[in-house]
Amino acid sequence: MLGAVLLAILLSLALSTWSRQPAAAKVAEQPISFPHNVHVQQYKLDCKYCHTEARRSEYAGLPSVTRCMGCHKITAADRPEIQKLAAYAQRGEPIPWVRIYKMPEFTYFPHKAHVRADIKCQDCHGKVEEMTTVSATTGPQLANDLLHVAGMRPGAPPLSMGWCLACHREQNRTKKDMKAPLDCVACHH
Amino acid sequence: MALWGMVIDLDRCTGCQACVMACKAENNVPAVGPKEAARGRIISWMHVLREESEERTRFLPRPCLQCDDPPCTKVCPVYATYRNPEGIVAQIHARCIGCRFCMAACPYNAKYFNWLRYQKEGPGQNPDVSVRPKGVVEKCTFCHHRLQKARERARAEGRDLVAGDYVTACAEACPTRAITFGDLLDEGSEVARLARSPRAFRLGEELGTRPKVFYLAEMEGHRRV
Repeated sequence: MLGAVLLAILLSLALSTWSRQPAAAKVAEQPISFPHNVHVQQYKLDCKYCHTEARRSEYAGLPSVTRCMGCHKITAADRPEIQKLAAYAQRGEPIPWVRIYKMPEFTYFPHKAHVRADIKCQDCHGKVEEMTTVSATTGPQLANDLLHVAGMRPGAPPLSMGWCLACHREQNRTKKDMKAPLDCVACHH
Repeated sequence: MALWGMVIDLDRCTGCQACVMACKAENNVPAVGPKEAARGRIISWMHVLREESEERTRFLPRPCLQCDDPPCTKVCPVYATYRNPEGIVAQIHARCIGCRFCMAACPYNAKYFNWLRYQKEGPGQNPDVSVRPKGVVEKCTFCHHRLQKARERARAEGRDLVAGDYVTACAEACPTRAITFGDLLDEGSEVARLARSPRAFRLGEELGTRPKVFYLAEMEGHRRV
């Protein structure tokens, strides 16, 4: 009896701490509901028009409120979500966006190297152009681990190190004069 | 492929500790506090050893010697420390399990253990270097984050890495220019020239570790450590 209770507690503990969360993120409540799909599909904006830092910095960056207002001073100015934006602009406050993609502190991920190597944003971030709310998927971790236990070899879940390395190896194999580093210290310092 | 190495001219070293402070600032090396220090837990990737005698006081700055045949990597059970293709002996903190075998194996005491979480994330930290958690070993890495940055910069400018692009923080800070850093395989480089000097010697050469940090000294006494 005691054994069964103990087992149940241990099992629930094990399951609750299962997700290793390298960069896990859930759908977050954002201060303004920003539809990526409208901006990308309808207005054909390039990712790097707003996320300008991606090509020259470690971080992709978020557009300033002023940049948003560059269009939205006129475009759709009567919509309630845009009025929220205008209010931020008037107060001169940044929009407190909730971060979705988090890299662990011990991982160095420079966007610029990847942009320069012609890696599409979507390769890592998923089909953002179809998203109304961006969310990072970490894939089925429990199912993945169970498959591993069963001796099968499923692909690594997104945003995990195995997933990064799989792509780096793939790039080195398929593209000419591509040198995606496989050395640990290239990303961990 | 480069082979990064360092030459430290002991005749120039004044023991000013500028390299130590530069290293601490660059690599977020924590100050452990007086209590921990009294227990011998000081962390100092670059460490100036001192020998006082009646004739004179001598100094010997000791970073990790980045052995070409490192004893520490051979004992690591989890491949957290390894020699990378460019000769840098790296330590991957996220992978380290804190067994401290590598510390026991290192003949130069160049590795340090985090007994506690000594440093919090906060302003004033170098964002390029991760803050080490409790229970991992850390060591001098020849500032290899600077190498990554230098590579990226060179690539952005559409050129190859040239000598001087990548220098460690200690070499940069040394006011007497006692520390020279560079590619040992580049025959024309200052570091390769100095490493071939008749004044050059390496610490514990008889151990067969083949350190890539060379020392220059004229004093006979320095030849035996």
